[in-house]
Amino acid sequence: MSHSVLPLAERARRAIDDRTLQQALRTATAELARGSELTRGDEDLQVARREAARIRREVLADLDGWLDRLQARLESLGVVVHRAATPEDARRIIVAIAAREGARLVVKSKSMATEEIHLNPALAAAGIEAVETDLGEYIIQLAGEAPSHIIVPAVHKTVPQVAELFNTVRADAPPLPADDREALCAYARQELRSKFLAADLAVTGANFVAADTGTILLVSNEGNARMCTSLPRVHVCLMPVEKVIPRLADAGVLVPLLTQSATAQPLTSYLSMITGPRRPDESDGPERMHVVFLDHHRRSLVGTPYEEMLACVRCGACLNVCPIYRRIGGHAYGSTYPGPMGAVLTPLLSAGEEGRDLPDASSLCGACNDACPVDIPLADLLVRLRADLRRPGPPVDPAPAWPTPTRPAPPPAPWPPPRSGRWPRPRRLAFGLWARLWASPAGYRASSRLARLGRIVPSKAWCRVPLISGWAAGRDVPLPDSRSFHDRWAGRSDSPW
Amino acid sequence: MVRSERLSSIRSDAETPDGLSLLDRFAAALRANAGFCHGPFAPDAAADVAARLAAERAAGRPVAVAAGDALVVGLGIPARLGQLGARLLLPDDHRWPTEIASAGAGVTGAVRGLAATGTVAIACGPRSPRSVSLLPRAHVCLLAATDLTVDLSAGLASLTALPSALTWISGPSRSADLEMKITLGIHGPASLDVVVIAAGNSHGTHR
Repeated sequence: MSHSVLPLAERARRAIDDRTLQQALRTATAELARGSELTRGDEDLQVARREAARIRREVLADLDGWLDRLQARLESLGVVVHRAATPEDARRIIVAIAAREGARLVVKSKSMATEEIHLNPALAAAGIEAVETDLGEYIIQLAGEAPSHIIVPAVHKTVPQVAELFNTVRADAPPLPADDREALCAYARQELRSKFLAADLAVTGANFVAADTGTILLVSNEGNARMCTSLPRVHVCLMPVEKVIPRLADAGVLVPLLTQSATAQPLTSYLSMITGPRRPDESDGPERMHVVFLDHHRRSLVGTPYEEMLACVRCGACLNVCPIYRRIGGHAYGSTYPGPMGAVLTPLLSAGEEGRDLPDASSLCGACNDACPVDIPLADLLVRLRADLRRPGPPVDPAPAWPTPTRPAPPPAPWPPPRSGRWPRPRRLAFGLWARLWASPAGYRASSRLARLGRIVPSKAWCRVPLISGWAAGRDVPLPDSRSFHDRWAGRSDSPW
Repeated sequence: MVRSERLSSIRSDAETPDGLSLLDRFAAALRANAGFCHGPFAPDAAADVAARLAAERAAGRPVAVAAGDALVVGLGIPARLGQLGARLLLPDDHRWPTEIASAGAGVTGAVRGLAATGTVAIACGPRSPRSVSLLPRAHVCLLAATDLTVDLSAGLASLTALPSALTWISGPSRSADLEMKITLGIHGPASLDVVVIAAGNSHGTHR
C-alpha cells in the first residue's frame, strides 16, 4: 500500500479527517467492545480466562515439542505437513501445491495468516485466481484494499459504498439499490456459491489445531469456512506455529472465550472440527489435505519477554477498546495486524523491518491489558518495544534454524524485568530530586503551585518552548486548572464538585 | 480443569445450577441465536414434525436427507417425506451432485446438543455428507434429549469417536459485515429448526 509510506502521524491525521470512517469506527468498536466487557463481568468466563491463559502458556513452554507431536498426528491421518520458516517459503509451498494440483480457482476462508504472507498476489502471479469468500474480505478484495479490522475486515465500508462497488463489478446487470443490505448479501451469496462449486482448492487459516487428535478448528458465522473445507478436492491450511493447542478438550475453554471476546457470541454459528481428509466411504470433503506451519520469527520470541504475544488468540478485543484504534482505524497502522496486538506483533514478526513506529501509537492506558482474554500485558510489551527499537536492528535475536531437535523449555523470563540502572546521570539526578520533592506534602503542594503559574502562558505558546515543543508536536498541551485537587477537596460542600 | 469437571458431572436429565432443565436452556439459547426449537416430542411425533417442517421450508425444491444417520433412518424420515409429496434427494442418487446446491432443505441427526449455547453437533459419515447441513436453504435437525450436554467441554468429553468433519452449529448462517447489522443465510442455511425427541425412548442411545 502506498498509504503506508506516509509517516504514521500523517496516516492517522487523514483517518481522523475521514468522517465516514469515523462514523463506521464508532459504531463497530462500540458494538464489538461489549464482548470483552461481558468476559470481565461473568464469573464462569473469569475462570475460563485463567484456564485459557494457562493452556496458551503450556504450549509456549514446549512449542517445538507440541509441533513435532502435531506433525506426527497429522501425518498419521494422511495430511501432508510443511514447515515454512518465512512468508516467502509459505507462499512458495502453497503456490507449488496449487500448481501440482492443476488448480485454476482457489477459494479462501478469512485468514489473517494468509494476509500476513501476502498470498493472493503470489497466486495471481502464478496465473491462479484466488477469491476471498468471507463477505467482508470479498468486499475489500473487490475494492483492492486490505482488512482494517482482524474480525470485521470491511468495518470501514458503508452499505452505499458496498452497493457502488458491487454495481461497478456487475456493470451490465441492473444496479443494486444503495440501501438494501439483503439484496447486497443475496448478490454476494450467489456470486460466491458459484466459486465454491467450481473451485479446485481451498486455503484456510486455523483458529486452533489440536496436537493430540490432529484436529483443525475453524470458527465462522457465514459458513464460508465450511464451504471451503467441504467442497474443493484439496484443502490447504496455513497455520502460524502458535495456533497449536495440546488437546482437543482445550477447545472447550478456548473457543467460547475467543467467540465471546471477538463478537460477544457464546459460540459462533459454526465451529468446524476437521480431522484429516475425507474417508474412503465418504462422498464429500477434501481428498487431500496439507497443513503449512508458519514460523516467521515467532519461534525466536520463545524464551524472551515477548513470548507472551504468542498466547494471542486473534479475538480483536484489544482493537475495540483501544482509544487509538477507535480513532484512526486499521489502515492508518499500515500493517497486516492493527491495534495494540498489531503494534506489538508487526515489529516482532518482521524482526524490526516493519512497523518500528507502531509501538508509539498507544496512549499506554492499559485498556488492552484488561480486555485481553489470555492476559497478555500488551501495554508493557509496547513500552519494552519502544525501548528495544531505539537501537537499530531486530528487537530479539533470530531463532536457530528449523527444524530443531526438541529441547527443554527455557526458564521463564522474570516479569517485570529487573532494573538495569543504565539511565544517564543527569536523568537519574532529575528523577531523584523529583522523587524527594514529592515525598513530602509541602514539596508536592509547592510544585503544584508552581505548575499553576504555567496558566499565564497560553497553550499555543508552550508548543514553542524547547524541550516541550518536541513532545507537543502531536499533542495539545493541557493547562492546569486554577485550583488544585487539594483546594477543591478542602472547600467541598455536600457535592464535592 | 475445575470448570469442565464441575459442569460435566451434571447428568443430562438433571437441572443446571440456575434451576432450568438442560432442554429449557437449550431452547432459550437456540432462540437467542435466531434458531427454532420444537418439542420435545415422542419419536413418532418428532419424525412427523421434522418431515413436515422440511417439506414446508423446501417449498417444492428438493429435500436432502442424511441417509446414513441413525436417527434419520430410525425414524423413517425418507418414507415420511415421500408420503408428504416432497422431492426426496438421497446422497447416493445420481441427481445429488447437480441438485444439492439448489436444495430447499436438508435433514440431519445430531450426535450431541449443547444446552448453554443452543448448539447441535453434526458428524459426517458414509451417506451423511457434509453438504446436507450446508448447501440447502433450510436445515432441519433431529436431536435426542438424552444427547444434550451442558457445554462444549462436556460435549467434547462425552464423544467417543471423531469423524473427519464434526460441525457444531448454533444457528443459521449469518453475517454482520455490512455496518454491523445481522443478515441471515449468507453462505449456509438461512434457517435452523431443531426437533427434540423426548427422553425415555431407545433412540437416544444409538451412539
